[in-house]
Amino acid sequence: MQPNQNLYCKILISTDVSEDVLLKKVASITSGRIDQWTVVTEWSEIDVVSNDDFNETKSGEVPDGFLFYPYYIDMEPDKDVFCEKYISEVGSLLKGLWEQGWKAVAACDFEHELPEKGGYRAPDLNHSLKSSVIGSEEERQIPEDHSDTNTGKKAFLVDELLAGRLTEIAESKQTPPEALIELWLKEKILEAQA
Amino acid sequence: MKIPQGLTKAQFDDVATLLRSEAGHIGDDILVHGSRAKGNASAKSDIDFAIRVPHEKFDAMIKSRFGSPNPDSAKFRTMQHAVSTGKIQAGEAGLRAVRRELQKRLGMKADLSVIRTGGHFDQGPYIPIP
Repeated sequence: MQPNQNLYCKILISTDVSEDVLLKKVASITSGRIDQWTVVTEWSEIDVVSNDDFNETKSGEVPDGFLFYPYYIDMEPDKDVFCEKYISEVGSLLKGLWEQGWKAVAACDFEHELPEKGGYRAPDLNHSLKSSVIGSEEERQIPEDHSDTNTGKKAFLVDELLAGRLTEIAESKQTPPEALIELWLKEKILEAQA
Repeated sequence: MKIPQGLTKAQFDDVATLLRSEAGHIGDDILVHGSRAKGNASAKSDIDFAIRVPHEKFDAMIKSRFGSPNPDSAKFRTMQHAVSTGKIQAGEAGLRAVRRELQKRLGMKADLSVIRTGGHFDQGPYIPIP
């Protein structure tokens, strides 16, 4: 960062969840507390906003569909927070959002200092999502065919028909199949625990 | 005086004072638009405030608020988007604190943006703030 650079950051997010769920997830990722539509953390106050420009069709366009995602969060550092800590926390938040299987793109002056350069035009983003879903490089043997999906140390055979449907949905959501599986599994586990 | 749907006159006067005080430096043409101006808002609808500024002022704000982002960046694309739509959202306009205060005072979601006169978002009906 250069001195006097603008530290305002907006992260546009594509997810099917409600705004309340998104708010809670941001609070969970940042260990913050919720105050109305703001998550208050020790390094920033993060506002959760419905994007007036949301357009489902345009949101799928590459690379600028992010402008039309349904939500954005925006933030600036609290005074007395060091710039390096702030940027590191924004990066962690961004990764936390990706780990939900959500698409998220940061727009700010320090994009290049964030993981995957903030997610815009990030060819390696799918790789990082896979890494977070299925563990270390040594543990995984990613099959080319989605019908045999390795999730960590266990491999699950997926019926060909299901694999085809999974691939279609993953492509339509522009999300790796592994991230979708993890998201759905998490939802089912949460349901079972409720 | 016309009051936006779901607000009392006292609330409207209160937020008008707030906006004149905290955002009046941007412009004095401050309006309510969207469903609460049209009168077709639901209980969950937000309230949309806009500060309407002439073309030159809008362009100057784009320059001062966005700076000169890298042309390969997402920020550059958000800047181009703001130019093409004629709308600078609250965060980029430096109005996050005002947006949050509006929400606190009204107990509802509020949006605040700077719009360009004659731009895509310059569409009524409007209710001007007093």
